[in-house]
Parts: sequence; structure tokens; C-alpha cells
Amino acid sequence: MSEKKVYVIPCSGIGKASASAGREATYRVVEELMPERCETLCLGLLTTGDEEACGKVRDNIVVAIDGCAKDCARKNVEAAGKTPEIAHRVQDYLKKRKDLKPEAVLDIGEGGRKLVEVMSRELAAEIEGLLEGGD
Amino acid sequence: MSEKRKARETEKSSQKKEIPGGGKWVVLPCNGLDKEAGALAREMALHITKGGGNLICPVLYGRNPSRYECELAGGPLLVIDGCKTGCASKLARERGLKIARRLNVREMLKEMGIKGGKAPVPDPDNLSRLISSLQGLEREWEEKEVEPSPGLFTSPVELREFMMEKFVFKVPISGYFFNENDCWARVEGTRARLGVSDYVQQSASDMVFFEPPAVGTEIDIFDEAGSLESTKTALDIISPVSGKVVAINDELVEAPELINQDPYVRGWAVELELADFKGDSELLMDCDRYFSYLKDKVEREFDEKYGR
Repeated sequence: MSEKKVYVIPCSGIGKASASAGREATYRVVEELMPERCETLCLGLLTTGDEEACGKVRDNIVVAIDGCAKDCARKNVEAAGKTPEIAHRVQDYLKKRKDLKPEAVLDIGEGGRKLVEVMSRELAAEIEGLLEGGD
Repeated sequence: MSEKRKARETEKSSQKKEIPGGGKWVVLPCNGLDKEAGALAREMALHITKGGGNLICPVLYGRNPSRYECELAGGPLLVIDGCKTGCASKLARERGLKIARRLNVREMLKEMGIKGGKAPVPDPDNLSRLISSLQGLEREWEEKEVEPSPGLFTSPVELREFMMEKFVFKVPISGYFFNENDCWARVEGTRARLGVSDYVQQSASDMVFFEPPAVGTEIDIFDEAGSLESTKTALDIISPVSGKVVAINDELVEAPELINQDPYVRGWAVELELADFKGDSELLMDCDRYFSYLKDKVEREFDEKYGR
């Protein structure tokens, strides 16, 4: 099993309800489901070229979660010199569960919260699988 | 007042009560994820702009600055940093943005005697306290000197036309919104310029007088936004949008005939800081719809007048 840390990095989630759901799912994974293996890292640090933050993503496993097709999270991780091991858009999950639509940026609503639950569990399982596969 | 309008007014007033800082600021927060202070910075930015103003995504702005050119020209810039790293401030400085006001959530929490958590999850109680502390923000914005936005309303305006008998009527192709009073709003960012259409200037004939509203006047949609007098008639400019008057066209006061010469660009009358364009736009016609509407209206008028 890989001993590396897993950085789950969502986009800023400003302006889109789906992106807010991406952040909520990240919180759920790093705080509740896999706190011992996962952390998050502020995308702003990568944007501004913070060396320590860029080093962390280069040396560890990265999961990028984007809220729209602009893929800011994935692209900024790549700009820091790392191809994320896992990269998803919230829309990928939404396509399979069209009834669980996040409602608004500030309050994603009941559907959004259910989507977060589904996303975070699937994400945790995917990360677990990746870690078991080793480096 | 229609039920829909009443509902919108109620929603607007409840938003104002809910968000003390409720703003017309252009807000650039940090991405807000590393610690609680960061997450709170983002939440504060969302709350402040919920009642108006523009929100800049720091990550998208970092990669694609041109994406927010219009928004950044629309008002004073409020930067919200979550922690001492100050990514939002750093980004603003790198891009040469003029920061009108800066907040640092970590310092704000410290002043309140609150120690922010290490987890990147915002505590709702801390968020409430921070939002309550923003009471002065709206007043600060109102006290700021307002002036026409440099860089806005400078792009060329393309027109299309139709002919009726010997008369040619012109309508912009895009970027303008009309009400049924033949008044237009040219909307860019959070600002709008108002004026009257080519149809009005042709019907009214030579404009001889323009009386503007005072700068700072709050105007609701369909309120009067100045008045005009021509050699044939007197008429009011019926505002297609709601907002606060931030500038008037002094050139038009001196030379009202600009409306006859160039009704859609040099003949603008008033510039507003928009209050609720999203809501207002539901009651307006875009250029295509207005073109069809005007064509039908002119045809009917000619039928009635000339018994065609």
C-alpha cells in the first residue's frame, strides 16, 4: 500500500452550485471518511506559485475535483507540475444521478447534500483502491 | 404592482436585512480551503455579493484575467484574505488592481477573541459573527465617490435597420435591452447606460432640452430617469432597469441633439449602478425581440396613419 499522502483539491467553488458540492464532498472525505490518509490543500497557493504547496502536490497523490468544464483544479495542479492520479468533475456524478441537483452556491439544498454523500463515498472508495494498488 | 414584482421586492428587501454588508463591491476572496479562516473568507464573499456586486473567482482570475475585466471595472475592489499568506491580496497586487478595502479573516477572528479551526470547514457561528461585523461596509461603499466607469461602453455598436416608406429605423444588434416605452439600457458589468431609441428620436423630432436626474438618485425599474423636450413634444425617459444614478451625460445637457444624431452611443442620458439586472431583465426585450416588436408597431402605425 502506498504510504504517500493524498491531497484532495477542489476548485474554489465560487459561482456554481455544483462546485460548492465538490468542496463539501472534499470536506467529507478529508474530515470524516479518510482523515488519516487525506488532506486538502488550498488551490490559491498553487495559483500564486507557493513552493511548499507545489512541492506537496508533486510528491504525493492528488485528487482534483472540479465544479465545471473550466477544470481549474486539475489545470492548476498540472501547472504545478503534477498530473492528478484522480480527476473528476461534479457533473460526472450528476450525470448518473440527475435527481440530486445542487440548488445554490450558498445552500446546495437537500439534493445537493445527497449528491455530496454519494460523491464522497465513491471518492473514498476510489482513493482506497488506488492506495491498495500501491505506487 | 404585479404579484411577480411584489415577490421580487420582498426578496430584495429580505436580502438586504439578511446581509449587513450587502454590497455593490467587487469582491476578490482567497480560494479559502487551507484552514477555517480561508473557508470563512469564501463564505463571507458569497454572502456580501448575494445582495449585489460581483464575485471574482481567484483561481479563474489567476489563469484568465480577461474573464473578469468587466466585473472589475464595475465598482470598488474588496479583497478578503483568509490567512496571513494573503493569496488574494498577492494576486491583486500582481495584476495591478487598485484595492479599495481589504479584510483578513484571521485578524478579524483574533480581534473577536476567536481562534479559527485548523480544519477547512467554516463554523456557522463564526460566519454569523463575521457577517454581523460587516455593518459598515455598505455605508463605506455609498460614501465612495462614484463616477463613470473608465473602459466601459467604449466598444463599437453595430446596428441593423428596417425601412418603412421613406423612414429607416435602426436597432443595435446586441448588448442593449428595451422596454415597451422605447427606452434602452446598455448593460456592461454592473453598470448600465440609458437612453431612448432611434424610433423615439424620429417620432419626437429635434431634441431641444434634456433634464437629468441628480447623481445618487435611486431609480426603480419603470421610474423616470430624466426628461426630454423636442420641437414637437415632451417625454420622460422611462428606466428599463433599477439602480443608482452614478453619472449623467453632461454633453447631452449641452447638446440634446446628440440623441437625434447618435441615439445609441453619444446620445446616452444616464449611467446607473445596477440593483437587480437579473430580475429586471425578465421584463425587458433583447435586441432581436425589440427589433420585431418595433417593426410590428411601426407597421401598425403606418397602417393607421396612411390606411395602407
